[in-house]
Amino acid sequence: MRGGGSEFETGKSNLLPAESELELGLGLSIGGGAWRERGRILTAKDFPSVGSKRAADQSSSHQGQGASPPRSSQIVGWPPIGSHRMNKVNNQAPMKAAKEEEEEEEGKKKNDETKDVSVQGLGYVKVNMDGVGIGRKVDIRAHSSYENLAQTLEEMFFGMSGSTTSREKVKPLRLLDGSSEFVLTYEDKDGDWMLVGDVPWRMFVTSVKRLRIMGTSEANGLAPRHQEQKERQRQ
Amino acid sequence: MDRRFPFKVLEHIFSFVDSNEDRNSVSLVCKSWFETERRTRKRVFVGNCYAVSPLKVARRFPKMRSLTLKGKPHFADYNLVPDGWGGYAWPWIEAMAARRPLLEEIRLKRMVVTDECLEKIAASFRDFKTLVLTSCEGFSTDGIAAIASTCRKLRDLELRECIVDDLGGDWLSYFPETSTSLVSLDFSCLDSEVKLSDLERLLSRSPNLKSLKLNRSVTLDVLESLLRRAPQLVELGTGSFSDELDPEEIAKLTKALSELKQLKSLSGLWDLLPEYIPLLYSVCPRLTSLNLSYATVQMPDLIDLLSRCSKLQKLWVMDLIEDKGLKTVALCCKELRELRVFPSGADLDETDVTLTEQGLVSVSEGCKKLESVLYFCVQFTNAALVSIAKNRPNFRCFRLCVMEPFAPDYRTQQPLDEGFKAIVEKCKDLRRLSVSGLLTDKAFEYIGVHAKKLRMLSIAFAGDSDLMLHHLLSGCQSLKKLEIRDCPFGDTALLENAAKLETMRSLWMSSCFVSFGACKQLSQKMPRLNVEVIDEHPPKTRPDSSPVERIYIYRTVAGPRLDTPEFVWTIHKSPEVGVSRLSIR
Repeated sequence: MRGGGSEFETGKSNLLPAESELELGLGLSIGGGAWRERGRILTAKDFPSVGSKRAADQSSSHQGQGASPPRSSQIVGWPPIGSHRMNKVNNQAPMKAAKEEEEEEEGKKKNDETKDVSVQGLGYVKVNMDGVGIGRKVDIRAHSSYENLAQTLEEMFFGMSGSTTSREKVKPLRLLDGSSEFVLTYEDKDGDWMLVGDVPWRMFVTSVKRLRIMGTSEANGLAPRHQEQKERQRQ
Repeated sequence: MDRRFPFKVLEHIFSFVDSNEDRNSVSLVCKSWFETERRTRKRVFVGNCYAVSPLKVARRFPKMRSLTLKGKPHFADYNLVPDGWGGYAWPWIEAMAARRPLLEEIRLKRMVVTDECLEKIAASFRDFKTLVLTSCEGFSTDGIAAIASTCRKLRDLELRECIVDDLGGDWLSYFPETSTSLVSLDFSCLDSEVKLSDLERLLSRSPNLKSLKLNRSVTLDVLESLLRRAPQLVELGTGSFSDELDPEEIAKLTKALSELKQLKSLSGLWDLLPEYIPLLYSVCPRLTSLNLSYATVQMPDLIDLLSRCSKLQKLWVMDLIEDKGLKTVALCCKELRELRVFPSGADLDETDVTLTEQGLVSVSEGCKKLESVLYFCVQFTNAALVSIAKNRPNFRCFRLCVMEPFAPDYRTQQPLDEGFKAIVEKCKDLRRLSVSGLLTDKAFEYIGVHAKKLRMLSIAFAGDSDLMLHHLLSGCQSLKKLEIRDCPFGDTALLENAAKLETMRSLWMSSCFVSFGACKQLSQKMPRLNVEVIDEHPPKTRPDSSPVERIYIYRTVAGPRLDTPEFVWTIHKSPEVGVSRLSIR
C-alpha cells in the first residue's frame, strides 16, 4: 500500500503516521498507467484558509498553491444534502416567488434532460462522456465561469484535482482550449448540440440542458479538428 | 423443553414480542424457539437487501404480513453511489408473490423499483394495504396507477422523495370509485398536476384519510376545496403556498384550515409567502410536527409562526431561521424532540442570514426534551459543542455538518476533537452521530472509548491515519453502520479489525486509501463478507498497491450478488481468482 508489500501481514500493528499520505500521493502521480491520481483525496492542504495545523505539517513540496481550493459546493456529494432537497432549494437569497418562477424551478433532479434549467433554482444537468457508461450530474449554478466548470468536470471524469498543489505540469483548461482529445459540448434549449464556450457564461447557464464530453474526432461541425496529442495525456 | 412449553404457549408468549431485535434474539435460544418464532413473525425487516436471499426469507416466515427492505448505501443520497449499482426490488417482489400471497405491506428504502414490480404487487397480493417507497427510483406513474386501480384494500400509498418518471397526473384517476379505504396518500415528490376533480372525489369518498401530502403543483387556490372534503386530516402536506389569492379566497382558506381540528403535522408549504403565515395561526397550537424546509420564509416572519407552536415536537427548517429564530424556538417550543436545520443555499456572505453555532446552543438550553438534531452550519466551536453536550445529555441522534471541510474551531483554530469528545462523553445514549470540521485521530479515540451505544457513524474529511479507523472498529461495540468519505487511511485498520465487520451491517469507504490488495485479503479472511469494489474508472491492471475508488463491505449469508453492473466487482474468496464478475446479463 504505502509503496511496500509487507504491511499486509496480519497481526502486525503498523498504523502509519500522517506523512505517509504524501508518499502515496506522489507515488501515484509518478506511477502512471490508468490510475492517474485517483487515490488522491482532498486534504486540508487543499483548503489553505483552514486547517492551519495540518498545513504546517505538510512538506514544502506542496507549498505555493496557485489555484483556489475547491469550494465546498464543487465537491461531489457535499454538503450532504439529499439530492431531492438540493434541487428544490433556491440558490439565491430567498425571495418571494411569483408563480411562473416556481414552475420553472420544479422537477430538476428527475427530468434534467427534458426540462429547462431553471433561472433561479439549482441547475443540475447530466454530463456524459464518450466511452464512460456512467453519467454524472453537475450543478451549473454552483459555477461562476467556464474555467470553473471545466475544472469540476475534469475532476469528475479524469480524476484530477482542480487545486493543483503538486502537479504543475497539469493545465486545467484542457477541455476548453481544444488541446486535449476531448471537447466539451452541450445541448441547448432548442435541442442543438453546441461547443461550450462560444456564448457568454450567463447565457450558457440559462440555455444548457445537458453536457457531453466527446472525442474531438466526433465533434465535426462543432469545432475544428484537432490532432490527437497523446503525449499530453494525463497519467 | 418441548414438553414444558408446547408450541401454543410459546406462540402466545411470542405474540408480545414486537421488536425485531428481540425476535432475532429469541430465535437464537434453541431450535424450538427458532421454529416457533419464525412461524409467528409477521413484520419482517431486512436492513440490507443483499444480506440474505429473498427465497430464504420467504420460506422462513410463513405468516409474514409486512416486509421492509433497504437497498443502497446511505451515501447514495448524496450521489456517491453511481447509478445502476443495484438494490433491485424485483427478486424480492417475485419471491414474495410466489410464496407469500397474503403479504399486506411493503416498505422499501433506496431501492430500484420498476413498473413491473408495482404491477406484480398489484396482481399478486389480494389484501395488499400499504406501499411506502422512500428514496426509490425506476418506476413511472403508470406503476402507481396499477397499484391504485387494482389494490382494492389499499390504505397507504406513500412516495417519499422518489425519482419517478412522471408521465402525467392521470394515475390519480385510477382509484376506483368504489375505493374508500385510503388512510394515507403522499405524492409530494411527483411533479405533474393531478386533476382537481379526481382529487376532490377521492377525498370525498375517503372518510378514513388521515394523512395527505400534496405535490407542489397543487396550487393554493384549490387547497380550500380539498380541505373542506377532508377535515379529519391529522397530517397535511400542502402544495405551493405562494399563489395570489383574493381576500375572499383568503378568508375561506383560513376557515378551512381552522376546521382541521385533528391536524398535528404540517408540511409542504413550498415558497410560503410571509403574508400567508396568519392563515396558519389556527393550526399552530395543536401542531406536533412542522416541516418548513421548503418554505423560503425569513426572519422575523418565522417568529410569528413558531411562537404559536407550543406543542411542537418535530421542527424542520432552513437556516433562514437564524439564531434569533432558534432562540424563539428555545423559548416557545418546550416539547421539541427533533430539530433539523437545512442550508437554504443562500450565499451567506452576501445576505444577512446569521445562523451560527449559537442557534443550536440556545435550543439545547431551552428544549429539555431535544434528542435528535441535524444541523448544517458554516463553522463551529468546541465551546459550543461542550455547552450543547452539557445541556442535553439525552441526545440519541447528533448530526452536525460543518459545511467547510476541515474547518477548525473558528475562535481557537483548534480541531473540533474536544467538542465531539464532550458529545460522546455526556450523551451516553447516542445512537447516531455525524461528525465534521477539522478532526484528528484523537476525536476518534474519544468516540471509540465513549460511544458504546453508537450504531451509525458518518465521517467526511477527517482524521490523520489508520489509527482513526482502528479506534472506531475496536472501540464502538454497538457499531452497525459506518460510512466514511475522503479520509486518509484504510488498509491496516481494516485488516486488523476484520472480524468486527461481520458484526456490522455495512461499511462504506470512498476516496480513502484502501488498496486493492487489502480488499482481497479482507475478502479471503472473512467468508461472510461481500467486499465490493466500486470503480467508475478502473485501471487496466490492478497491482495490489493500487487504491480503489470506493468499497462497500457488508455481511451476508447470500454470497456474492449476481446483479452487479460493470463498475462493481465483488472480490472473490479464493486467492487465485482475484475478482469475480459474476453477473447475469
